[in-house]
Amino acid sequence: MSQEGAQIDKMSQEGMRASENAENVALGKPATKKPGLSLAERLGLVGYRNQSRSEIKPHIVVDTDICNSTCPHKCTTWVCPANCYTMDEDQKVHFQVEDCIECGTCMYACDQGAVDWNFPDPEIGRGVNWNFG
Amino acid sequence: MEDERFDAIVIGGGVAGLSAAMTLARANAKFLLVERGEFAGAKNVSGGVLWGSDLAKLVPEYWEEEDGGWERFVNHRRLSLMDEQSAFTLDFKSSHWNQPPYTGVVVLRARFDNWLAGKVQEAIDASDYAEESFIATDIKVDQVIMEGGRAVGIKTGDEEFHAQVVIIAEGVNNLLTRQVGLQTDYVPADHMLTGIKEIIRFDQQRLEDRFQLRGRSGMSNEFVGWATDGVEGGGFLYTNKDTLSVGLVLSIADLRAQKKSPHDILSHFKSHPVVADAIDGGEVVEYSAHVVSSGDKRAMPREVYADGVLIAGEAANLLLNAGKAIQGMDYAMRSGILAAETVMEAKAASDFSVGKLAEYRKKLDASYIMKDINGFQDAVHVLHDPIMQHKVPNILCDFGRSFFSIDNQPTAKSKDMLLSAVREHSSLWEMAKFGFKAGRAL
Repeated sequence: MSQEGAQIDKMSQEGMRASENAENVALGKPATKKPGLSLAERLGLVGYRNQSRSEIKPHIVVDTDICNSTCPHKCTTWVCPANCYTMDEDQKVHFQVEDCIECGTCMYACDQGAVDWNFPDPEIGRGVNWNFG
Repeated sequence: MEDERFDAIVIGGGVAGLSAAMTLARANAKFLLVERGEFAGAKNVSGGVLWGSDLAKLVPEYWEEEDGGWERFVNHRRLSLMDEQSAFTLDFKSSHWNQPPYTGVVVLRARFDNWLAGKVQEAIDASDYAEESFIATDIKVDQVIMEGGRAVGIKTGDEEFHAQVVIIAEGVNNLLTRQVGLQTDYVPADHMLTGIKEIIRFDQQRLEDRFQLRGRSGMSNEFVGWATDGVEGGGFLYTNKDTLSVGLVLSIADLRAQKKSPHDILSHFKSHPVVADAIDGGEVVEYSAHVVSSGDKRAMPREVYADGVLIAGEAANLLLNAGKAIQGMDYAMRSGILAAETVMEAKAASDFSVGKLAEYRKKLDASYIMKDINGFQDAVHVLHDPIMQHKVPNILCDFGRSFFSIDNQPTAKSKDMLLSAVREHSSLWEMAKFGFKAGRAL
């Protein structure tokens, strides 16, 4: 359950603090944060797999060339509950798989064929490990 | 080679897969259940209430167990229609639901599925194949192996396992169902929803006092209207042992069209005065999301069986929300049982042909699952109708406000209050038409 280590290079400070939350919760201690959470704080409560691995095999591959050329809506940037799809100042779509909670929303929302969705590999992928579910 | 084969391989340790496995173990089948999570339930999310009494068939007298995998039984049901400030609630609580087998139990899947998997392991241990049937976790199936158009096993990494029948119980994101050709490769967003929720923890006594819970009794509350910020869908609040499950199901197509984020709408829902009062003082301990199908038949795979394959649970999009309850886990349970029974009958007849497996379709059609899904399609449409989603909640809340407000003025007749609320948000003609449609559908 607590494979999360302090040596996670890709996580932000915020994510780090929140992962402490998840650990506290798993141990039955009170979480350090109050309700009215930001998305980053919410995601900090998620238990992810293989967090100590610096390299993971992404289970979703997004052809952002499609997003950034022919897609009329770029909807993944707002429908994803984990905000894995972001838009920069130049309106370019970027994707990161680290925060993915495997819900599947993007696979249906993207009607442009840009999202190649799979289940994460248990050993070398990321993906969730729910405490409550 | 022949001896190495399992009677069945079950893909997925969720409710459907575990129910199939329990049935197989009890019937002395040799089977393999594979689950990609670290444990059964590790990847699973539901609202969620498991409705009906099938659980008592799988785990007899489960309520006797001190620390069973379920949270609370439901004896209090609420349906709330919301506007910005108010909630007009249909509330039904009855002690006739206090006796087991319960009408529904609230569950948290990481706990429930894991517990149920333990029960399945006990059944395996008591079977003739105690050493040859397995529940294997951390296994992701890459492929269903096809030979001459027939599914004969699964491939995972470099390993292959063979069976007479593969029961696919992989859940709503049914990649293998697509791979074997029963579902289109791309499933459009039209009839799919995103479920999103928070688990909010309380001191148990405080939770029980707040919701008037006694022992293991619990409450289920669904919400329509303002809850979803104009997006097609609904909200829910269920009591667990010492936590609440608070969340929404939201149409993916509508989120896309309205450019709204599910997590923003969750915050919006939680800010409603009625919800805010219910969750006040609690600590959010988990945030989760998962796609769920709408119960619209148009989303379903073209068939629930193929040569060597049976599809159970949400992989077959077996789900219904016709306004009464969101039923999915009970359908998963029953369809898993029926799939396993089909396998056992095939084994008894030494006939695993596709014609024999087609019995599964007949069993499903004859069960309450397809009877209800077929019988309540109009209700699904009514529930998702913008009139039901927005106008009806506003009318009822307006009416409630006038009806229950006392301000030392001469009081209008209730009929006039209702008419005025109808005219404010709709028209008599529209409401009459809708009422007729809804009346027929339900």
